[in-house]
Amino acid sequence: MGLHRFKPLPSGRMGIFWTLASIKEAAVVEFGCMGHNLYSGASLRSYGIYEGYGAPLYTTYIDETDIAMGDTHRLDATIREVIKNEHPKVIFLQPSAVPEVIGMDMAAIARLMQPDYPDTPIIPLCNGSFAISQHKGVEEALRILAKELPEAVVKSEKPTYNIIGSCADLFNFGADEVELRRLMQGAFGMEKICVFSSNCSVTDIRNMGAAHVNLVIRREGIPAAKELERRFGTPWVFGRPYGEQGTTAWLEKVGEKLGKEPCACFIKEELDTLELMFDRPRRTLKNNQWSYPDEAVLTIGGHYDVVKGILEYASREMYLTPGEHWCDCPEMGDADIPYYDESKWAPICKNHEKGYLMFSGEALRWAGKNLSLQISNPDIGQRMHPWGAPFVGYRGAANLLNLWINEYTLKH
Amino acid sequence: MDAALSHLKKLSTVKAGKNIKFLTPAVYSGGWCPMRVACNLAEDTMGVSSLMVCMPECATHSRGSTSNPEGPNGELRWLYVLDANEVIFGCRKGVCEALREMDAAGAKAILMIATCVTDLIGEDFEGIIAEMQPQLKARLSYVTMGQFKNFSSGIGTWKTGEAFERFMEPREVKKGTCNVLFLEPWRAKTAPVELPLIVHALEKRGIPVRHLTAGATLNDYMNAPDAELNLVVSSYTQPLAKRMEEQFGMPYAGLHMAYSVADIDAEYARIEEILGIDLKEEFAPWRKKAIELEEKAKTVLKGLRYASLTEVDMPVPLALYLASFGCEAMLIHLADIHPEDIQCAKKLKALGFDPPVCRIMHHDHDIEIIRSLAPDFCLGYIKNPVEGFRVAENMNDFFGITGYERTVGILQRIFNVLETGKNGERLDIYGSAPI
Repeated sequence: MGLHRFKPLPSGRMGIFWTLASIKEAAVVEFGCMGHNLYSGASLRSYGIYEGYGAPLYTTYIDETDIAMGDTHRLDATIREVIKNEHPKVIFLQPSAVPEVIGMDMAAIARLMQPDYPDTPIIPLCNGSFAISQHKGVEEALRILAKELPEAVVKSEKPTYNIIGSCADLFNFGADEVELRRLMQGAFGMEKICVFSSNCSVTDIRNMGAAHVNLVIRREGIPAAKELERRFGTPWVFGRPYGEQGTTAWLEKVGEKLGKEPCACFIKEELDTLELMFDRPRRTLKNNQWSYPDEAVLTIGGHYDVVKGILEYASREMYLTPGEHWCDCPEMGDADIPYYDESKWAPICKNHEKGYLMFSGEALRWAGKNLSLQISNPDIGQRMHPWGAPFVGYRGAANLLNLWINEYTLKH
Repeated sequence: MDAALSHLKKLSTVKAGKNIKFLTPAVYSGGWCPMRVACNLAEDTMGVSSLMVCMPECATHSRGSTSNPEGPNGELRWLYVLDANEVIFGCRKGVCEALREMDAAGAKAILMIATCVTDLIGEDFEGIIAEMQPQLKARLSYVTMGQFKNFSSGIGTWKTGEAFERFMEPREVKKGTCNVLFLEPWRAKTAPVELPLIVHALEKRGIPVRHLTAGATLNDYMNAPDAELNLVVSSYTQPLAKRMEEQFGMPYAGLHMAYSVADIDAEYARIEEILGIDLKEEFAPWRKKAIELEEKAKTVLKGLRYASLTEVDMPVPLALYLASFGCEAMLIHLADIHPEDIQCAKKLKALGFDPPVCRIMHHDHDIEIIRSLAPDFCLGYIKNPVEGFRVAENMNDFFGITGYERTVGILQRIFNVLETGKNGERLDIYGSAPI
């Protein structure tokens, strides 16, 4: 890892924690020092996962004697107290960094404790280690929950779906989820069973097998979708819908899996609305690209799937040319979208003058750029509610174009 | 003792923080760790750069959402994040290289802040400083903030204060000058720092008082040994004062420990003697009010029992003071125990009081247990007011305040709560004494 000026890539443990914290009817118990729990709670609140929204977040604390003796009595006492206070349907058990270092076997501890609490499954999520990143942690949490919790259920009478990979760590996850649900309702008349994991309960996860299709909106959700396909035969679609054409194509892909065409009236109505709205700003961007191609460049960094989706929309539908682009996860970076650490993206941000720069709030603020073009974390503000403008779907297409045309106006 | 408290230790038997038990076992939801305190204090000190040496969790959470990697005056707030290899084999080489980079980038003083894992693997920061200081222009200091042995923000504050001593240099003492030591890691972000009236009284008499508080500069710390006296207004800065006494022979006045009028009189007399001034008439209205309230306390507080909740500054010295009126602390939340607490505990026991102590870690739940004890009143924080449960709140108002005005404020607030169930108005120490 080494020297950083900016917030480093969060750890796998953080990814796991942020994925679990939003699940209602559960409780999270972290074994270790207390600071991580408190500060993660603060981060989650800024993402819109406030106290009372999802799982209550408990920790045990651990002192020198516990470390020296390998003593886990605090954990047992905490679990007993949490069950008494909260009556959770499931307890997610996670070690913090110190028990990881001293090699406490949380899985074995969970197995030993489980017989004392037969009505409350204790699920250890211990693969945080020191080598995996936030994204792998999210993947691991989704995969384990998809394996452990869903119960054998029959498919719902009316067609239903799950969203897999809407998690609190993804910037603007709440607004994007609202738009995805609107699309599925409008195009297929379908209701969700589980928004895994930013807006769901233990019951929802247990019922995931009843869904007719799984919508995987970030690649970390693919192993979970495969697990659900293996157990329930549920087909899955991977991708995030960006732009007019991109959203229509995504809906058609979902329709193929369902064996059902998306509602043509819904799509037409959406596209007609956007067509009128987009006419002038799109022409402005087109002219700008023709006359000043060096100004029509989109520089963008963030989650791989977000960068890929927005970049495709910008270049295929909106007359912006792909500039420097990168993802925020070393395990995901490839030739198309490489991983950049801060030594690469910091000078790009600082020296950026012409065109459009979309990246994290932290970097945009530091570089003195337009904060409304934030598309990734680390954030610098509070996102208390999910009612803002999305990036995905038809409404996301309008929002993104609105952001770009405002940036164009600011600079001209 | 009540069954719900039977697992707790009595104050007189507590010699270290690890002896203080949680009132109930589950911590909800986490607790302030001392790392963030060190970061805040470094950020509040112009000219001081910091280097976190930590895991990704601490690196991420050390930054508030508004923090930048550079401060307004060129301070660097950089992060050294250990990888899996360094967790096993140590991070000395990487940290040394990071210090060289920060030095080259213009850092004037660097506070290294080690957190849990770095503390656990025992990285040798004394050794790093010994090796690196001769090679660098920047002055180096460090704190180890593993929460497993530094429970609270209080310890974080005093350890950071002590670490600032390394930035100081021997100076020729200037007669008739003093420093006031008050480090407060949280409130300075949201409210102005209030200092006790003694500071203004000295300044009015032409005594230069250097404020070693939020907003102080590196130069203030470097020059601090030139003062004749340190005024300590918080238990968190007493260790810094002691360190300065050892290193530079500077005396200090522990104003924070003086609650009674008699004790305050004695401390002020000492200050008058050292600085060669006369303070007597300066605080006459406040002193008169304090005497009046102490008289009232002798009858009103006698035989009452109270619980001390969270967010009460120096709960043990305060318990000793209230015990002098026959008022019994039946339970004290104590985040950590300070050396002066142990002295106060002995005196309390001699008066016949030895309350159980605990850490309140699940407020909503724990407050129900405390209600069941039926105290006559409580001091400290309560999330939601409960009908008939009398709590003197906002006790943080008195953090960093000393002298007659603090005594008046505390007693008045207790009387308000006992008489009306309400806290009354915030004490305005800069206004006239509430006659």
